[in-house]
Amino acid sequence: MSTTKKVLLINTHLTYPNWSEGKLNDSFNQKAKEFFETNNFEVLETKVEDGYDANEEVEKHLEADIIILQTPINWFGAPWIYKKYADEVFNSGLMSKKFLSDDGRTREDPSRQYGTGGHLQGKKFMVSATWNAPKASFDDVNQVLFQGRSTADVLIQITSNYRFCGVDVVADYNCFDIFKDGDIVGDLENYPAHLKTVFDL
Amino acid sequence: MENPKKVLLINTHLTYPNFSEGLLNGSFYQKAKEFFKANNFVILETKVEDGYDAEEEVEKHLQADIIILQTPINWFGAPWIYKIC
Repeated sequence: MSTTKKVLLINTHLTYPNWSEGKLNDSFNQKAKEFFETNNFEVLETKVEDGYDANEEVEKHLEADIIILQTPINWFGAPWIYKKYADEVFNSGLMSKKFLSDDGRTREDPSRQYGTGGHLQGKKFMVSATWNAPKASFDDVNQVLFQGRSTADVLIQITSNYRFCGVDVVADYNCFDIFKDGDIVGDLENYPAHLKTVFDL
Repeated sequence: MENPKKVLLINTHLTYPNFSEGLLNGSFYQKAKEFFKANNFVILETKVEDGYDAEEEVEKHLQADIIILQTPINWFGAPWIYKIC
């Protein structure tokens, strides 16, 4: 009987030629891959830009113990190819009832909350993101853009889908200010330690 | 002469045949349109699903005093055709 743990690494970088070639997101994705291989995980991979089959992606999600989304932040969200991916994959998982049966509410039991109809309990999801935004723009009520909000707040449109299906969402990892004052080398170096902490490995 | 105010109404509903045809978002959109007409606004419109030119959309945003996005929430965000803008 195989007890090998599995991780699904989704890289949703979208190439803009001569402007954003995807090397930074590839580097983080590669770091994660090496980390999980070292920890004897089987690694499943999806590069959204290269195409995918929504039903197969559902199966990969069902197999995986851990799911990680590697994404650049374009206009305060993942690239549009990710929203297309999420709409298609979660629609498939809903129609087949493999991800969830419904939104959790029932007429019989009014105490059951919206968002409790998922079937993916026990799995963990994490976002690793690259930002132009500097770290100082978050968690500070005096900042005009985010007005005190955190990275997790900004990423909630992504993480809510997983929570809706019963998946635990663990702390996101962020590489800030990538065009100016960021510490890309340091953020890459520290990434495995974050993975070790949030996944108890 | 006073220039009329302008409102840009963006409807980003995405049709899923026999499941989500866009009638509800179309109704809210129409309500807003009637409201702004009654208030003597010039109405600029974009239905994302029917196609658009990004540079023209920039010009419409520059002209508009008010911008309204009418959207269904699909998987906790606007449909992917909205993010593609």
